[in-house]
Amino acid sequence: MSTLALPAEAAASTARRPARRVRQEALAAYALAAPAAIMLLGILLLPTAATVLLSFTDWQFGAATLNWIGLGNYEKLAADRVFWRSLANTLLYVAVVVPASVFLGLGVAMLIEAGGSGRTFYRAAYFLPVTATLIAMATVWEIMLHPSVGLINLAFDAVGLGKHNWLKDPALALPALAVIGIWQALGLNMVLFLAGLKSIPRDLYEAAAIDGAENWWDRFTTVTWPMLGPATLFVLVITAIRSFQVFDTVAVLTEGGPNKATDVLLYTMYQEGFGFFRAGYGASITVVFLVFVLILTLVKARVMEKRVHYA
Amino acid sequence: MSGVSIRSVNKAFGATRVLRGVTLDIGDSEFMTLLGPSGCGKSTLLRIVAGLEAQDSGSIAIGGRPVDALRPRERDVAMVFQSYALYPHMTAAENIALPLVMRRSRVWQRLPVLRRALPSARRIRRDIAGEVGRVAAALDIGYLLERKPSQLSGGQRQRVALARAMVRQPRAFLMDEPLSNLDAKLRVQARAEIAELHRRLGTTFIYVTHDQAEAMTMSDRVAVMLDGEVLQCAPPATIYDDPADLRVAEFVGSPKINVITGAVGSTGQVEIAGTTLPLTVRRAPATALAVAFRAEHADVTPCTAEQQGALVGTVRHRENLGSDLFVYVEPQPASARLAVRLAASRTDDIRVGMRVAIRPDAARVLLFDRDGGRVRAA
Repeated sequence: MSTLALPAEAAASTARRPARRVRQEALAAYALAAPAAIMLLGILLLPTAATVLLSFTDWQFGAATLNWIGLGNYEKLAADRVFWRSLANTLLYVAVVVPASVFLGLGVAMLIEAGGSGRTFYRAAYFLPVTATLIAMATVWEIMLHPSVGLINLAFDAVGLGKHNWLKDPALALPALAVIGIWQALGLNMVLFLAGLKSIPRDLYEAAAIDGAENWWDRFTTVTWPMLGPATLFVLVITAIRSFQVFDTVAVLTEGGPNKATDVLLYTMYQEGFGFFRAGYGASITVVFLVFVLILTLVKARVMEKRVHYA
Repeated sequence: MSGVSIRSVNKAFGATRVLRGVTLDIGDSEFMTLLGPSGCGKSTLLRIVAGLEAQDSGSIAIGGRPVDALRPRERDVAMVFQSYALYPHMTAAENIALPLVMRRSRVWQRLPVLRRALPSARRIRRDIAGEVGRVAAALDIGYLLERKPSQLSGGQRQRVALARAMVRQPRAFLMDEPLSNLDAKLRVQARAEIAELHRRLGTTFIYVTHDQAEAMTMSDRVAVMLDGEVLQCAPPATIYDDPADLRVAEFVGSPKINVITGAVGSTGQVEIAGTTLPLTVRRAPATALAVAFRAEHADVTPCTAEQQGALVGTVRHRENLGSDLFVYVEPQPASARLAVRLAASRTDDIRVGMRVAIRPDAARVLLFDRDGGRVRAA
């Protein structure tokens, strides 16, 4: 009886509370949420809205006037060979970097987890690229990839594979950048997978051992891989978004060349907006970029809810 | 023949000795419970039998065959874990089928596309589905087969875990506190079901628990473990009525057995708290004894005068459990409180604050020496 009475009593006490106090509480709640809301609005939502609006104008950076041109910029984009080239390059870059860095990250994480000594060392060593400034590292890579004195060409030459002009050869420049991208993404992916591996209950491996899943492949397919589902999805999406954002290495190493072979979405946007001062046109490229990121985020949210959610 | 024989098994984790020369013979189709407080080494012993942990020395034989060099799957035992350890991404049916799938199919017959495409793989899967259905029907979980573990209640998960253990008819079942995650009511029900399952299957069960009620109600024999040693291994009734060691007597039974310090008198009689019990032992006079009796093995009466053979004290607390009523008495001279179960006829005339005389049933009093070893009355 007493438990049945409880909710009713609680409701009664709410009703008895003076309206003034309720108003005060609401006011306090808004006041506390305001700083975060204003920040969100000021540094994320408003700039995004401004960019979208800008993409419908012909504004030139620094110009005093602008005209509403509707979908004009997008029509121009659709006909722009440079844009399509840079979009294709970006997608190719993502298609190489994402699977390679995800699988290598998983492999390295599993090796580190299985290994006994030196775990901390390997973890730190593989994580180092994540902590380094990519611009500085790009310069180091430039020296490494130098056609005549670079370490990589010296090594290739020593084993009889010949010398290559990595960053100037249209067929090699994008793959070379992708390798740097993998090198950079690997560390973070490894750390995320390590965390995922740590959270797998040991009981499951023991149950699997008793049930007969004993070799590494059976263990991997019955326990590790399915249990890493949430971690894998997260790593995939994060890596994909970060690969879409590739910019630093392109800006430092190739500047989109040779002959647009490494022109990527953000670099094209940067050139249009800040090189040629076509801000409206640059904004429309940004919107295309945002659409891709938005799709990835939605896919993540959707799949997270549906498939890989274990209670 | 699938008894399990454990021979002087030792195990240490670093400096901590978890098992100290444990020797235990578990008969074919026997239900053996390893009972002890947490940290006594019972789970470690079970894991060594399963092959999940390696002993430092000693040996294990299952069905007369030494298994020390065998890996878990080759030992042909099944285990039910405290957490149930169900694979969360598989349905109940897939969980139950896994031990059979792993044993009967080859790696390529389990690959994502091939397992549906290959006729041989499909035949194996069909056979297994039939067996899964039979086991599920035996445990009344047929209607749960298509659900994932996250959609099952604790009791249902426990049954799925049992089914996964049963499905390949192992030589022995190992259970590590399988009921401790269930609520009290369900635990009583599951207890009866597991005991019945054991009778029906006739397989050797090794059951680890810290819950004495589970040990007492289900087992053929109970091995009471403490600090890595088996103190006593006997049928439940013997463990309760005739414990070999004071620590066994103290661990088993609720409320805890009453223990009073006593001594051997000049003629071998047992003296406690200034009174003499009608018992004699063959021990040197003045030897210290621990005199123990259970709550139901004593009679309480309101105290009138000093009574020979009785302990006198004041009632401090009454505890009514519905079926039983216990009183807690502070004895004079002061020592630990004594718990006594009141006879049905006395439930009204013993009240808190009253002076009472406690008369232990001399035939049921248990005597122990200073090392905790049992001292038999002459």
